[in-house]
Amino acid sequence: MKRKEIAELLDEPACPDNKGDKGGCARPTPGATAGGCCFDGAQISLLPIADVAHIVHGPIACAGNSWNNRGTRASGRNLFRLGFTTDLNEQDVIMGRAEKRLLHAIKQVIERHQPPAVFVYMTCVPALEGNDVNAICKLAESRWEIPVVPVDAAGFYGSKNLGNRIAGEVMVKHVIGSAEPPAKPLMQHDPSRTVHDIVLIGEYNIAGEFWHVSPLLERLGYRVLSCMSGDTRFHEIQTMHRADAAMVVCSRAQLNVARHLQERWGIPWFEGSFYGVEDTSNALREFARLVGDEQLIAETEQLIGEQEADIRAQLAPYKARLEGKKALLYTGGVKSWSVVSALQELGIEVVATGTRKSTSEDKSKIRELMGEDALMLEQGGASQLLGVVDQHNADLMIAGGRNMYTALKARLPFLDINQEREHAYAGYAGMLTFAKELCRTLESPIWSHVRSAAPWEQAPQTGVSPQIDKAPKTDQAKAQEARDE
Amino acid sequence: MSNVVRIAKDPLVEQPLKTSQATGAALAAMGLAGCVPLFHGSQGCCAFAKVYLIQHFREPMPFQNTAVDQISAVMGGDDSVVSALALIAEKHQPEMIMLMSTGLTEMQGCDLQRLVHQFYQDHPQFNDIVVVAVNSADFSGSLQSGYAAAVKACLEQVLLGPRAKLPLVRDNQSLARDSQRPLVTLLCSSTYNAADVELLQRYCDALGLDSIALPDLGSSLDGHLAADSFSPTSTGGTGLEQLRQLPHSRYTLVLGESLLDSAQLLEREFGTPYQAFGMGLAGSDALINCLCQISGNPVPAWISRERRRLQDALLDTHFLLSSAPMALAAEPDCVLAYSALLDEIGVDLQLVVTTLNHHALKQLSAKEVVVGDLSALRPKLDSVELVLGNTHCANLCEPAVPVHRLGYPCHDRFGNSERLQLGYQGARARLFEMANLLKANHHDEVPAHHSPYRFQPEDLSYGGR
Repeated sequence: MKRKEIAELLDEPACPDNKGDKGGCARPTPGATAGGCCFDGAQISLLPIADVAHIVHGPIACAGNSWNNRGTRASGRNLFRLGFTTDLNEQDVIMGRAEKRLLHAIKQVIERHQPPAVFVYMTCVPALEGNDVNAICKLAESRWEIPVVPVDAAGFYGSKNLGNRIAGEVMVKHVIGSAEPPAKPLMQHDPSRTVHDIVLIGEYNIAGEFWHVSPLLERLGYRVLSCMSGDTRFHEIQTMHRADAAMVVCSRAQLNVARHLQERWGIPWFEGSFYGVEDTSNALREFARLVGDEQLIAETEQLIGEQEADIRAQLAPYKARLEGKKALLYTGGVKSWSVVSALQELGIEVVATGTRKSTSEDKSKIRELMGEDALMLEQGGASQLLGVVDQHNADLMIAGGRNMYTALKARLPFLDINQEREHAYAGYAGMLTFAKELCRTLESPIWSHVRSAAPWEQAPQTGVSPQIDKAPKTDQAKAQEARDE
Repeated sequence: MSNVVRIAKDPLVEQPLKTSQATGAALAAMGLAGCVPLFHGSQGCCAFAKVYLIQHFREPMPFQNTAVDQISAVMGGDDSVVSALALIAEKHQPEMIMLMSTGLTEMQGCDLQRLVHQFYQDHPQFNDIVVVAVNSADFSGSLQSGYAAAVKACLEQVLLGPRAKLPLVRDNQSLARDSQRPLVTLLCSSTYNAADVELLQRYCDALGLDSIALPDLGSSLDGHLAADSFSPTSTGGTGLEQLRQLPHSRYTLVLGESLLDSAQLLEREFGTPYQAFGMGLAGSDALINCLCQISGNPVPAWISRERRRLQDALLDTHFLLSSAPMALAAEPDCVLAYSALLDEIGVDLQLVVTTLNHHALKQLSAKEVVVGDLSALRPKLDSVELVLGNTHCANLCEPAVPVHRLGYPCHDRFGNSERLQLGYQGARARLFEMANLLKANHHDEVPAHHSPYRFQPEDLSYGGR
């Protein structure tokens, strides 16, 4: 990819942080950076397109380390869970055989798996070598007559965020709008109307959590043309341009897709979240508002009323157990505020939230929720996070898998909200799982054991010394009471 | 927390959890060196126990029996005991014979002690072969209590009583120990296996203590190839020499409540103090601390490290195990040991099924405690995520609910002797195994939703509208 193209991608007018001098996204700092590369970002955005053959063109590290490790779930064909790669070896690199190998790889994957399309991911080594992946894809496409889409997002091009954006750009350029969906069917619950078409952007169906939401959308008479990308298929991505409304679920990553949908096809969009009762209701309201169907708006309110009453009743006992607990939230983007509101609904106080990947809009939402002096953490080093926990007497940490061991090694209750998790937290039903998992870790009796010193040893030095004196017994007793009830 | 222990009184037992005392006594006998377990009963009493333990251990079991037949059943089988003892003594020259009664012979009211006495009288040439007689009626107790009875009988008859005056034993009184290190006695109940005994001995050694395990399954039923291709006796186990050193022991470590009787006997007769220990972090802490105090030596770094590794395992596995609903089906010793570990990680123990009533069962955190058979598990299968139990349990529960194997019999598993349970390492291994079973049996939380509005590739049209 040319520098100019990268610069164009970094300049995302829909992004509120897009201020001229910074060129949009911040550059990574060598020696002080966590998080994935551009290839990673591109791959995770598109991989959940479940029936596509995703070929990682590069040496083994890129696919070998990452294949089939995501929590994303798809119904039907799960071709994306195989780890196709050209596995370039030394001879391929020295002798310049990588391109040829790629062509053969595409042939093999098509012959063996008959995918509706092939995506080819460029990685650092062939990019440095100067492989013309675009040309190979074009050649393959004409030879085997299925779409072969190059995703030129080698790791060194930039951050994971840039990769997300490249992936979105590729879909807009090569896939979206390349086919028309069937005519809108009639609503099953009200055959006097046709369905409304919607799309979701940046929803990954982690642990199948979108399936907590999609039945509600179906009940309201929405046809989800495509969820990009979680439990979706190639032909569904092709039709995204026909949506009546779009929702951007993971904020910063793929705003460009929403912007293109709006600019080229006039599709209105909004940013929202399915974490927490309020946010889920708001997302449903926004869809209805954008579609602008009065009856739909009324039905949406009715559904929200039912669902909220139901889930609030189910959450009540958990809320009683969680009320007053303090959490440190360290995550990125939309989750930096959406999870805050979910936690607050359970009576948990959020002492600080991470904003490393948040937009200024995310931050203003955080201020709305947590007050003007909300503590926002731009940097998330282990010792800093533990310092905050210490200072604010937090009861648990909520973060992605990478910070999981920071919390655990400091003998601190932890909830994983990263993309590899196995629990589905989205939607109304997901909130119950969220509450249960919070109780599981907070009320576990292990905390006194793991903080205990051996009878023959001094107390262990931990990053959260005040925690040791906290009486987990009371938690246990509380849990017991709740169970006894 | 106090529990109601329900004692099943159904006329029909459908899926028995327990087995006979004689089987347990024979198992204990296998942990004594050069020993032949001799069942005083009909051939079946022996054959069933033999097959049961062979299948579990995948090891030969040199069991003999007195083959009570129709005539001896009616007329009394005393003669066949004496003649069986004499034949075994002559043919196999064992160091020990464990003579066990069964339901049939207890029913007859046979007096094993008198028969042993008679055997020595009739065959003085075999006076240096130690015969230990244990009452192991089939109609009371279970494998665990039979095992415990055998251990106690062993102490009573080898260290005390009339035959303790035999020359060999008198030698023992003057037998000075070579080692300067303090000696401790390890009494491990039928819950524990070779790996557990080995670990205990390693802990003792690391703290500068000599140890004698009674019985010592660690050196017998650890699944080894002996030098000889055939052995008519147990291979390995606690030797008579070792047994006779027990009065010198400074302390008795009891693993399994059923052996408290034996420990009390040692305290009464030889003034050896004792303490019982269990599984889990706290249990292991108490154990190491006790060893530390006996020896006065510092705890070596590797043990402290094992402790930290267990703490880390608690952290790692709590995401799965804390508040996971489970059921446990095992003998009381095993139930008490495991429930301590399960409590430490916060398992939601829904049901305990066990074989015998025990006063400590009332203290369990389990929601329901049943003394009965495995069929009590059936109504719980929908509500538990994991069951801890034997092979019969697995047949009942799997594949719907995964079963962590423990107890007897586990003939559908290899390496039953290596299932480490005690100490920091054992607790860690159990946590990982339980967590792995839950993980392997994990189903996606949300069923896939497929909207009828979704369309297929062939529904698309090309070329734009």
